[in-house]
Amino acid sequence: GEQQESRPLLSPSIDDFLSESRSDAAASRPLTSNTALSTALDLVDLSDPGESRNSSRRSPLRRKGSSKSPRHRTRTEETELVQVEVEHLQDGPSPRTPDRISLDSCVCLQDCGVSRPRRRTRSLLVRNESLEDEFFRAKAAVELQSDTEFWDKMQAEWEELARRNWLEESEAQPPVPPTVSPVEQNPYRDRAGAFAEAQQKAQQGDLNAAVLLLEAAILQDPQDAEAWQLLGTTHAENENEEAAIVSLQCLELRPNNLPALMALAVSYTNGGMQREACAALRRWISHNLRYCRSELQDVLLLFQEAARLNVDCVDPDLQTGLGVLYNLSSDFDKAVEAFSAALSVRPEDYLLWNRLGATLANGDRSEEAVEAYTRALDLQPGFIRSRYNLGISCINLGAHEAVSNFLTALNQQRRSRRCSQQQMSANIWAALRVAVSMMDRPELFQAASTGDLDLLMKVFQVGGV
Amino acid sequence: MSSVSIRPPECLRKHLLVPHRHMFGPGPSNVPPRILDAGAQPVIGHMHPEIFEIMSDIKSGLQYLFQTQNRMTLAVSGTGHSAMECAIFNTVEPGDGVLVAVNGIWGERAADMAERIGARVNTIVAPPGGYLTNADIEKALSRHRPVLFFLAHGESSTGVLHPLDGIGELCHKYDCLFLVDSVASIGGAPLCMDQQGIDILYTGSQKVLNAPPGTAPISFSERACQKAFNRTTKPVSFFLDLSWLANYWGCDDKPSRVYHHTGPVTAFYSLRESLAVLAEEGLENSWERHQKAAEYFHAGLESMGLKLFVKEKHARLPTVTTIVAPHGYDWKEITSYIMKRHNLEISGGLGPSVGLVLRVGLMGCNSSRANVDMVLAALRDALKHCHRSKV
Repeated sequence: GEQQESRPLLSPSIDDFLSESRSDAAASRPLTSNTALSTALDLVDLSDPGESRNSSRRSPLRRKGSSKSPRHRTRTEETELVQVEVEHLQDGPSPRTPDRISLDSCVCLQDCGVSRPRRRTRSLLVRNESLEDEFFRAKAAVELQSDTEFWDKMQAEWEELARRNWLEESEAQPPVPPTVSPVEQNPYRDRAGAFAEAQQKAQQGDLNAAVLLLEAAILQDPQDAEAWQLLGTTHAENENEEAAIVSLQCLELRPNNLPALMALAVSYTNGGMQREACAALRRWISHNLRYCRSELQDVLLLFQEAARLNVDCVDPDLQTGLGVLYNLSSDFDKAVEAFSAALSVRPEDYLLWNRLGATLANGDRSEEAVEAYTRALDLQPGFIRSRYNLGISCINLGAHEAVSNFLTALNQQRRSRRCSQQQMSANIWAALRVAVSMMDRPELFQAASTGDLDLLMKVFQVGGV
Repeated sequence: MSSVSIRPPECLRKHLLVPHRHMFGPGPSNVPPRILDAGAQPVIGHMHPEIFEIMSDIKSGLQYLFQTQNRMTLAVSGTGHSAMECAIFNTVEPGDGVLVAVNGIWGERAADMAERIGARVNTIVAPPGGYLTNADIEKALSRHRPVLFFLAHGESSTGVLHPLDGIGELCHKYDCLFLVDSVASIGGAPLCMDQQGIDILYTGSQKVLNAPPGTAPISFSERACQKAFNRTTKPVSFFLDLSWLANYWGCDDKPSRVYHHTGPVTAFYSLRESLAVLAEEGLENSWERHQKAAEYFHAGLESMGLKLFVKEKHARLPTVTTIVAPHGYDWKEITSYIMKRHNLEISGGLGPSVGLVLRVGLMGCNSSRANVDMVLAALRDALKHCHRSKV
């Protein structure tokens, strides 16, 4: 009938100080618990010593930000522990001025059963005490233990956590789904219908019972994403942010779970973890069917935003990007505007002229396309792609210059011998065949099929010299 | 007494309006007026004597189409897939071995169906555009000792016409039933069920027969019936249970027919009429017409610079031609352009041939030189206008 420990914690546990008797089983509990605390208030079990509301609760260390081990934590602001001088309290709490209880302050404690001699009496846990008093007691409890012991435990804890990849910075592997309360300590662990009952308890406001029931459900089925999610939100409601975050790592099981993503974003926000909160919210919106956009739309938006910022000047590279995007989305008129804008800054850029031309052509503006290609080829006569494109537009226009253009391109390629002939020429040959086939001259078609460039050049009077 | 809370849909106020278009894809094909009119005849009972007479006409017509004397010849209610399942579910029991030739999508589907009913499925695969040799088949039969071997005669997803000779014998050598899918081929390419030792043959109404989709002719040899009627377990499907279907279609010895399901009577009318049309033309004439039109078509395609997907001439399915998707084009743009400008359906690839080909189906009344010219003109137009320029 001894007071069960308050939320089971990592590192030196308040229970070391608050409870006289400790079972050996509890003492030998491995450092695997992972539910977290968010505030010092969590430390104190508000229940009657006889109740077991908070039994078997384990909280992992959930430290925001840095992954440094305690040993490095010499600066007080980094630590989430209450920093006070060690004092030996004999009876009851001593009132202290409360520190500011920040959202992310956390006292890291663990039930380890080592410092029995330092245990305080259970008179410290008295019903109906105010929140403030509870906080004081918690602080006091921590202060009781010597620094060295405390930090040793913390260190061990950190190392354990690091090993288990709990820390935010570690993105190398996905986190292992957290274990929860030790099995032996959960009275509901074999309960059938634990999840349903948990929902009921939560509704009734009995959050601690709900947590235990959910943990039981998870023990029965560790893949139960719904249970993990509800556990997360229940922890949050129960003012246990770290536990909430850890449970919401259930998203590993179902990455597009919208409620879990939102809950996670909220928890991160409470922890001031902006990057993580934004990432979660980004995922939420990207998976939300009502608002989801394609990747193309996303990128397009970014480029459009950027372009809007350029009030007085035009960035030709940015405009090129826009033009390419509009080509992808078949918004050819907008693409034409973008490339034209780029050309206004770089009118000698033959690549841009070709891009403009191809965009016009793909948008069925073949005459204008021909003009653009002509500009490109004036600037760079060896620009084979543009000549190929020109041939295509000639086909579109039904002009017989198509063939001579393809022949010129093929001839240039053959002469230069610089590029991979087989690769490129195949396209041009294919287009040439199409062009020739429209001329209703079977003997030429034969030459085109067999690749007789010389004959064709002679017939069409291309090349020479 | 409940109140009607869901309102009558607005969309049903609109007149039903269906466009006319040339159906030159892999199916369904256009339905000529004579067959369409047959389907508009008054609905009578699915067990009325007139219907039984029509069903009897159908059976005779199918025996002609399949070139079989099988008594167990009928039309499954539904389309080609219904017949595929009927064939498999009746002749295969859980644990039975099934060998499936996969050279396109139809083999994949047959394998899927056989797996679902607990058969031990093995496949022999040929690449898209290819086919299996008898040696390949014999090796597999010997190795796996299946009770059933599936082969698609007209593999419409790749445009391949699979050679059939000698395979029936092989199957029987290994005590195996020979199942052939001729949905896209029968009527357009030579096929003689009995002569070629086929145990189960099926097709669909909506291809060469030019009837609306809705019935799937099927026939079982004596050997196949032996297997189907000596099962240790019932077929999984009541609807496709051959003993019931046989009774409905009067293929069994029972004195009377018992209600099994409601046959799609108007589909029976159009199927009956489509078989009448075929019988009038004659099978061999129909085979020749399809072959000539296909050759004319292939020559026209090649003269346009397009390439045929199936290299070997004799392996080309005359009813569905697969064209290599041309360089520099987005095949979807070609098919959309042709649909928009020429009111003509041709299709892209299917299953293993997706993205690789264009497919043109010229089946039944659609298989003619005039239609070939129409398709070639549409393609020429598309090639002119749909070429992608390089940004």
